[in-house]
Amino acid sequence: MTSAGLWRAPLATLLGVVVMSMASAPVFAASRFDDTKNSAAENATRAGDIGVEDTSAQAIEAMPRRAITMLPLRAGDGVTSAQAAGVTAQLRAHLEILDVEGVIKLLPATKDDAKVQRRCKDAGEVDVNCLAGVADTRGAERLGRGLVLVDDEVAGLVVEVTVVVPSGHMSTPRRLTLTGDDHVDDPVLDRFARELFAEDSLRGHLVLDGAAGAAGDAVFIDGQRRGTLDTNGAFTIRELKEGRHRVVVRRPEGRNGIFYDDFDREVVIHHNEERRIKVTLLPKGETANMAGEAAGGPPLLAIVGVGTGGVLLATGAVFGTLSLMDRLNVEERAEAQQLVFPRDTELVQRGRTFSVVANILYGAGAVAVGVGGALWALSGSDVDEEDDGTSVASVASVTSVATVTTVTNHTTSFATGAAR
Amino acid sequence: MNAPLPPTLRRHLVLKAVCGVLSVGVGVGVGVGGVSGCLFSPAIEDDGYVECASDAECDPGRSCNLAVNLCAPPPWNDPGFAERQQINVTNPSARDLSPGTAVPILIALDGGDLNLDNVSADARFTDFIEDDGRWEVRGVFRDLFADRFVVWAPLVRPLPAGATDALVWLEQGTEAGTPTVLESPATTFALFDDLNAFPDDEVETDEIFIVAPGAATPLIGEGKVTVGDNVKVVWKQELLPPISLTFKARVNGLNCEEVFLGLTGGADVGFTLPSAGFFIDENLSTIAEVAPVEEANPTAFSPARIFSEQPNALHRFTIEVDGGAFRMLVDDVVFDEKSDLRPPYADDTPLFATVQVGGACSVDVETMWVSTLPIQRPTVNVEAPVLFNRTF
Repeated sequence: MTSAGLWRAPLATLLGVVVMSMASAPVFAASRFDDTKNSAAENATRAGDIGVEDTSAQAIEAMPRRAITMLPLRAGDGVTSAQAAGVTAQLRAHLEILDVEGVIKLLPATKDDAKVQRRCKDAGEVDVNCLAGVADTRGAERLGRGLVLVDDEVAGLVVEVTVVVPSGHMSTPRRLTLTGDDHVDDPVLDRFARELFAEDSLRGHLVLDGAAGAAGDAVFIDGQRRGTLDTNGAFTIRELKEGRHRVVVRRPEGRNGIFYDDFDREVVIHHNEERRIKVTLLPKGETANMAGEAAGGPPLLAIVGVGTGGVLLATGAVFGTLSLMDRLNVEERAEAQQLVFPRDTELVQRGRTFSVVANILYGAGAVAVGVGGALWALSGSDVDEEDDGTSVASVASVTSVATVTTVTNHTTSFATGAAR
Repeated sequence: MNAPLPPTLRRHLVLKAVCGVLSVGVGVGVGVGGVSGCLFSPAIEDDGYVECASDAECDPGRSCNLAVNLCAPPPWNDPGFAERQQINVTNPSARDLSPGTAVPILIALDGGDLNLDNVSADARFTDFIEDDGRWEVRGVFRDLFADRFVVWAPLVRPLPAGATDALVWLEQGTEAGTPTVLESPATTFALFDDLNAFPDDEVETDEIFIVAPGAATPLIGEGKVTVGDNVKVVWKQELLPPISLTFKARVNGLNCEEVFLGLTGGADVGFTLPSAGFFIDENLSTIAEVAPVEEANPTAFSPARIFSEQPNALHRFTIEVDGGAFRMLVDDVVFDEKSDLRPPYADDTPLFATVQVGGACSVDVETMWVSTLPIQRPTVNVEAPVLFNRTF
C-alpha cells in the first residue's frame, strides 16, 4: 500500500472501498463527512456490478496517513490525575504503534497541551472552534481530546474521547470501558485507537481456496478484478478492509466445453482475522437453486415452492368446494328421483371436472409444498467443528460448495500500563 | 476428468437426492390421499342411479345416459302434472309377450296394484319413448266396477319371459283437477267391441261378427247385442292362444238351456271344437267346459253351480286358454281352472269368440275384449310417487 497508489486510484474507487468500514467510524456532525459517506455508499453500490475489471485494484487498499495530535485526557469526577495520565499514556502508546505501522502520523505531545485543554473551554463547554484552531496550528488532521470517568456499574474507568477536525467539526464521543484488572486487553484498546483516528486501518485477510482445476478463474472483489486463482486454485488478499465484501469467482466460459455459474458470495471481513472460503464452481443450472442461500434467507426455490404450493392447495380447495356443492345438489336431486338427463348432464360433468381439477391441484400443491418445505428445512446454517479446532461456518446443503473459515490472528501485542 | 468431488459438494448432492426422494414421496402420498378423498362420487346408488355402460344395466324405466354413465329415469314430462308414478310389469310366464298385449292394473281400495285413494280424477297414463327421447300419452281402457276399476294398458315394447319393464307412468296432480285420461280401448286390445256401431241393416254383412247360418237373428242396438233363443253369434276375428276373452254380459231369465259364452273352433251351425267356455243350463247351473282339440269330448272339471249370487246382473265372463291350461273367471273371481290339460290347446288352431243361447232366456252382451295374456298373467308393481320440484 503506497500513497502513490492512492493518488493514482480513481476517487470513486477509493470511496467505494472506504464505505465498507464506515459503519465503525466515528460519526461526525459535519456535512463534509456525511458527504463522504454518501458518495462512498453510491460507489459501493456501483462496485457491486460484477464485470468491471480494474487491474489497478492495488490502490483500493491504500489508506491515508493522517497527522494526529492527542491531548491529555482530563480526570473526571472521582478520577485522579494520575489515573487519567496513565490511561492517556496507554492510549498514546497504541497510537505510537499505529505511527510505527505508518497508519497515522502521531504529532508529539507539547507542554502546552494542558493549557490548551483549559483554554478551549467556553463557559464550561468544549470550544470546538478553539480546538479546531489548535489542530490547524499544529498541522494535525485530527485532534483527540477527552476525559476519564468512573463507571460505578462495572467498578472501572470509562475513557471518553472525541475527535475534532480543523474545519471545526467534532465527532460524537466514543467510549471505552476499562475494567479493574489494571490492564486493558491489547486488541480492544488497539481497535479503540484505530476507530478514533485510523478506521481505514481495520483490515483482515481473505483466502480463497479453490480446487486445482480452478486455476485461472478470475477473482472479483466488490466488482473489481483482483487477479486469478493460482495453480493450486488459491488466492489471497491481505489487508482487505473490515466490512462486507462481495466475492465473485468467474470461470472462463466454455472451459472443457462446460459453462459454469459464477461463484458469488458476500463475506464479512473482521480486523486482524483471516477469512478462508472454499470455492467450487458448478456447471450452469446446478446453482440455480442456491439463489436464496446467497441472499442469506430461505432459498428462493423454497419460497417459490411453498408459495406456489399454498396457492395450488387453496385453489384446489375452491374447486373441491365447488365439486362438493355440485355433489350435494346431485344427491338431493337423485333422492327426489329428479336427477334427469340431459338437463343435469352439465351438473354432473361439472362436478366431476371440479373434482379432477381439485385433485390435480391438491397433488401439485402438496408436491410443491413438500419440495419447498424440504428445501427450506435444509437451507438453515449449521456449524461443524473440524479436527484442528478451526471454526468452520458452512451454509446449508445447497451452499455447501462454499465453506468459510475464519482464523483469528492477533498480530499486535504489547504490555498495557496500569489503568489506575 | 475424474477429479474427486469436494466433500461439501458430495454432501450437497446427497442431501439434494434425499430431499428429492422425500419430497416426491410426501407429494405422492398427499396427492393420492387427496384424490381418494375428493372423488366426485355422490351417494345416489340407493336411489337407482348406478354407473352403467348400457341400458341393460339399468333398472326398468331407466336408461343409461352415456354422457355421465349413470342410469337415470326419464326427464319430467309435463310440469303441469305435479306427481308421477312409474308402473312396472313383470312377465313371470315362459312366453315372451309381444307389444300390444293388454295388461290389467287393478286400482282398488284394498288389495289393488294402486290404492284408489291415491289416484285422482285427473290421472293419465304416459310412456317415455327412449329412442326418440319423448313422452307419449297412452290410450287405455278403464273397466269400471262399483268399488274399483281395472285399467288395461298395452305393452309398448316386447317383454321377454322373466323380464321386467316399465309399463306406463301414471301422471296426476294438475291444477285444474279435471280428467285427462286418454281412453282408447280399440288400440288397447287385440279385439274390442262395444257393440255400439252396428246398424241393424248391416248385421248380415258385418265384418266383425257373423250370425251362424240358419240361426235366428240377434237383436242389436242400444249398445248391446241381445242373443235370444236358438241364436248363435260368432266373432270373425281369429284368436290364437294364449287368449284372455271377456264378455261383459247379462243373462236374462232362469230357464236357460245350453247357453254358451266362450271360444269355439268355427262359425258353424253346430258346436265346433275345440272349445272353452261357460255352459249355463237349467236354473243357471253353470259349468266351465273345455275341449282342447277337435276330437276331444267337452269336459268340466268342477261341479255345476250358479255363477253368481246375482245371476241376472251385469257380469264379466272371462275365458282364458293357454296351451295345457285354462282359467275362467266371473268378475275377476276364478270360477274354474286347470293347468295340465292333455292334450293342450294348440297355439296355431284359431278360436272364435262365441255366444250361443238356447232355452227360455237371453244374453245381453254389452262389451267384449280380448288380450293375448298368458295363463300366468304379468304382475304389476307400482313404484313410489315422485313429486315435481320446480327448484331443480
